[in-house]
Amino acid sequence: MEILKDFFYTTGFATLTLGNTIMILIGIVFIFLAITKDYEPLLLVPIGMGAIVGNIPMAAGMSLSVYDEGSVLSYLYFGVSAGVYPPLIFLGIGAMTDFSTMLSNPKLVLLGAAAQIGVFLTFFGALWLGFQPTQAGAIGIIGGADGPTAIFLASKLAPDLLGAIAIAAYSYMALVPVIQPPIMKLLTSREERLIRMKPPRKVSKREKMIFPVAAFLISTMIAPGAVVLLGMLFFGNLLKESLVTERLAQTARTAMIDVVTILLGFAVGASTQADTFLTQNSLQIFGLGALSFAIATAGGVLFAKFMNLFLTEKINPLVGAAGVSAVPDSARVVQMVGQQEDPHNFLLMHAMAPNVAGVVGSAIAAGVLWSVLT
Amino acid sequence: MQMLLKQIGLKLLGQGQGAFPLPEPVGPEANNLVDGAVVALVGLMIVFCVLIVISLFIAALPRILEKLSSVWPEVDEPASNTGHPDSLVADDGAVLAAIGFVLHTEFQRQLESPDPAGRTG
Repeated sequence: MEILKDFFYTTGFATLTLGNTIMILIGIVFIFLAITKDYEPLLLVPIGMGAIVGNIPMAAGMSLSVYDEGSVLSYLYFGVSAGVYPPLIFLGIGAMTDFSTMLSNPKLVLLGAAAQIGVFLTFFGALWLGFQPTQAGAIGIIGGADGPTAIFLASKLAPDLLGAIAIAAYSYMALVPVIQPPIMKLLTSREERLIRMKPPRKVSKREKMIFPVAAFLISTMIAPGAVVLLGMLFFGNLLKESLVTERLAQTARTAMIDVVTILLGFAVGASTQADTFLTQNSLQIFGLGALSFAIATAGGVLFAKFMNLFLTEKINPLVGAAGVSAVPDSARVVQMVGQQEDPHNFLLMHAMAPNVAGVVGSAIAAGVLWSVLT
Repeated sequence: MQMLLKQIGLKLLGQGQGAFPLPEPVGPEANNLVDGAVVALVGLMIVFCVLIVISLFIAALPRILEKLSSVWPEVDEPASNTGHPDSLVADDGAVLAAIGFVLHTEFQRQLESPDPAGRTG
């Protein structure tokens, strides 16, 4: 009987806390949303399952959790804490990104820069709330709407907040279709939403091949902190555009990115243990993340309107909302909102330009914050 | 403020230990709103600066390539057609399989044909 009693005290039932229960329920909600609402399923399913695994109470003396030295999960989590997974995901993103629309209309690149105002204003807001500068920098990057970048910077600047920042970043990326449209409609008139843009020109193969190398050199010479993320992004794109390494590009954009996404999502989910995740800081991070996302969207839209003051060929300001780098979700939202006004207005290809510029912009912003704050 | 800007500049240039040794890291010092505002402003300016330069480069690229085309003409066929055999993609394999299947079917049909004129090989 005593043995049975001892065994009971080692089970999860005896040591389960309210926090663990809440986190397990959050994990189940993530999986439910991914399956029923199709919200970022490739990320929310691994994160949700990871959250469930990470919140099963561990028996004393057993090395099981991501924070226990030598545990299997700690080895998987090493890729997160050391910032290994995000650059590998960037390699895959580069191999699947077509920069043609951006190359055909270079002025739209600026919208990708304007949306980064969300990152820096949130950084300032987090400082105002009393976060340390390194923590504020990691929180601010949520506004870049780029999960791997947020994880990369958080792992470097604020490892203690990594779980909350990663969950916030991916949650808001999944909520792009909910968060962005009201802001876009609020800041634009019907006439502006009806603007039709000139179709993009055809971009030569040679332009596409030269671009990744040249853009990498320009970016990292000015902001060397972005060398890891942008190096992998443009390397992946070069694999795609060189046309002689199609097999490598194919692997990078399919098998490799899938493997890394599984490991990253699961490890991040498993790191959200109740005692480290359910804190007041996490709530503030979620609030700041939402604010950051909203500011980034507004920044892009307002900057497009500002550019229209000087341009003869007007930009549809909705396109500015795609400057947040949630690829391709925010571009799809632009298309959707545009077509609500004019079903024959196709903005998707135009929105892809600031969208991919936003990926570059958020990586540069991360590099700058990393350089300055460490 | 001037000191902070100088430190940020040196950090971005990867310096700080050479001719201008930094007294302290920027991080802990930036823990006030003024310094935070400066970091935010400079950061945003750098992002804009990089993307403006990229934008200008993209705008100039077609003209540069046009001038280069006299010495380095662009060929129409995709590079993968002339590249290493390893550059074969999955679709190439499918096309080869389809061609093989058609040839095999045609030879079978000719072999089974009672009319010798229908045989070509």
